[in-house]
Amino acid sequence: MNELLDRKMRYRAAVARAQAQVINGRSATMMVKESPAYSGRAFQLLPIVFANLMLTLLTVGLYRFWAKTRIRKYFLSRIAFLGDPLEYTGTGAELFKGFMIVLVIMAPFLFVTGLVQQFVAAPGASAVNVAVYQAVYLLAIYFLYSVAVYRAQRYRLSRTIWRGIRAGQEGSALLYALRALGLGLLTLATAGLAYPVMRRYLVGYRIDNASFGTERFQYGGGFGKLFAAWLAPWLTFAAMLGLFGYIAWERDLAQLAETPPDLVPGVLASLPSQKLYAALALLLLLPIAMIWYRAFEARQWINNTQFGELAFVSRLRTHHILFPYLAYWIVLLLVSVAIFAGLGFAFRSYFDPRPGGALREFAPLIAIASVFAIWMIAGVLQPMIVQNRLIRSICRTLTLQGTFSPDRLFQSQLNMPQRGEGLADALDVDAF
Amino acid sequence: MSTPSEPSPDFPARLNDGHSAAVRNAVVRAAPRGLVIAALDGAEIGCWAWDDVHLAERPAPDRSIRLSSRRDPGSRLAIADHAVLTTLRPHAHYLRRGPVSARQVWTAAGIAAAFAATIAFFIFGLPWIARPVAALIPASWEEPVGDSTVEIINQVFARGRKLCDGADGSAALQTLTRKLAASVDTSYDIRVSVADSGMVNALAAPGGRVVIFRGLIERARSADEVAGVLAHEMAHVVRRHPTQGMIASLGWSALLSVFTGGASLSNEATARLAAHLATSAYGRELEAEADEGALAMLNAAGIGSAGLASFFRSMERQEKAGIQLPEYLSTHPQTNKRIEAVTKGAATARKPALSDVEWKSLKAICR
Repeated sequence: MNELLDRKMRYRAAVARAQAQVINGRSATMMVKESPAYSGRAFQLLPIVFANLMLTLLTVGLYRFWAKTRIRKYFLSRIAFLGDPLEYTGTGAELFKGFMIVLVIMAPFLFVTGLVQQFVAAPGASAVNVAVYQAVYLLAIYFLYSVAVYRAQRYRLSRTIWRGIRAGQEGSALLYALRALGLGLLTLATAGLAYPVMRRYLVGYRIDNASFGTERFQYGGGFGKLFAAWLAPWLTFAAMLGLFGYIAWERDLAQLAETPPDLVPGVLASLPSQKLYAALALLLLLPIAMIWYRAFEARQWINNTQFGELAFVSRLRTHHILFPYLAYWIVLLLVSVAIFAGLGFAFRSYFDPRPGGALREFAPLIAIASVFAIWMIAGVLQPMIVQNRLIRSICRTLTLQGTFSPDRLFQSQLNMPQRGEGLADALDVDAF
Repeated sequence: MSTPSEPSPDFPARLNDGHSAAVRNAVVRAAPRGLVIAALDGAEIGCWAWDDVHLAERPAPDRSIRLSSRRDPGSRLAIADHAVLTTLRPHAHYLRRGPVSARQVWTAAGIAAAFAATIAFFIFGLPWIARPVAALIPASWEEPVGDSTVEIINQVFARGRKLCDGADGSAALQTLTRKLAASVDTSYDIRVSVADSGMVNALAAPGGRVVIFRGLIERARSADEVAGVLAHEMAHVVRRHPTQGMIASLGWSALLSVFTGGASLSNEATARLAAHLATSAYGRELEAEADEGALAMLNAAGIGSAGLASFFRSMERQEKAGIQLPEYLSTHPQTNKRIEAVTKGAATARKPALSDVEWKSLKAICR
């Protein structure tokens, strides 16, 4: 403990000395107009991701904390700015400690909710019971989720350094979660229209409280433009719902459920095809509209953020997000088809349809095994294709410009959390 | 401060002092007292003690070697020339693959202990918690759960065929159930169904539901044997074992879904599978409890335990003859001891469990 205090004192003294030097006029301010350089390669990721997957399986998931750490170390160390790389200083043990603490909180929570669901809100219980249970459960999960998001960001920032200077985050996870709850209810009450308002205040809170060294980030955007952009996916969704509803009303699709299966294609063929095609086209358009909005949002966050005298400009477009996911899904689809076809052929005798046919009870097992194999392959491909490409695009499309005085940017004085992300891990907040 | 006698070469480096984001170009060289950092004009900037020098990240061929000093967590030296490692290794023991530090050992031990404690809790803690929690749950709450469990069992094992409901057979089964239940005090309304499946099995579900499989009734040689098995399952019900099993399995799911991280689809499936495997059979203790309860019920009803014992014995013979292990036995281990226990406390049978006519109609309940 004494050593820690000692170290802190020495730190403060050194920072004060450095500050004094600046005041004495030995500062070197530079003009900057530069993009971060990303040098990550998919083939370099492959051995890391593969080893991670194998060890995670062998340890029933326990290795995932060290696995996440290795992946983060790789991605961050391949991002460089002004010639110096970022660095991730977190450890698997820190994540593990966070997990142990949350295990003690989260497991009883899930246990009690499971119990209540089984006995009070089981299928067949009164609708009021079920509704109350669902509402309380969802609110509690949403609240915990928001706390987890905020705390995870605090941990990750505190472990991100550049030129030896730490990032950090102030603010309160509880206040953030309360905001998220209020704004979430507002979004619900306005049928999703208030979503950009919620996003602006939540992301704004996260940006405003983030800092790098002694300097804070500042977000200065409103939500007018966001709202206008949000209308694209929102209206697409509304139009799609309306069109499907109209078709259902016109042709009474409820009848379809009672139609014998062999007649269904005939009934579908008799549907007003133009409207149906229009509705299906909207259904396909919806994810693209959503990704377009996400890209717009990302530009909005980045372009309105200021760091001291540095401004950020992003040119991130829809295709930068869409193509990595598209490539990932296409590769995954091809691999899955190959696996199912291969297994189906190898075990074709197991699918004997006659009564008492050979070992048919193994058929579900084989299906589970192939789903598992595909899940594993997805785990390998995701960082290699999606994350790798996304990070590259984000770096390429980002420019930092303005003036920057490296010797006036001092070491962060924020306390570092000792453990990381237990709650975010338990709630599966994000993939890496 | 560098003296000409030092043989170490100079390595160009970029220095961050950990206090500001400024970078200094410098050179580093090894000296007996530590890693000496000098400005390009030769003036010494600092010296890191060998005990403090460590790698800030794992060296990669396409990147600079990055060193840090333990005195200043933010300090960094980036050295492009990988030969620096060969020069520094003899001095800096953190750069060698040396003995593991005590801290690392403690961390590893802590992780192992936490892991072991969690596993122990899975195995011993959950059943221990399940009993008091089960006692808190009103029997009436379980009924919807029991009904849906019976439905699922019927779906899985009898392919959703109608539960057997032959009128005379049902009446006989009800008579037998009443006879056995007469001596016990329970808040359950015990209901016994017969599933139309050839498996030789019987099981107890929450909410006072018992399912007997057609195969068991067909295999039984007398009504007393069916009465024995029924009493055993009823004893499970009365002692709330199915409820406890369900609670333990819920605990399993909850723990496993946290343990394996998040609630994604695959984890959910694993959790369910594991929960099922872990709790589909009751432990030896609970089986002994149920045997004891069955014995009391059978004695009170004047049926005696000879039927139960003879059913166990016939199952065991089948097993020894190499016939596929009867399902009922596979979840009920330790047959020999149980036969002994059941026979020891038996009162003599005063009357058969069912009349011949009733037994015949019970056998025909699925027709």
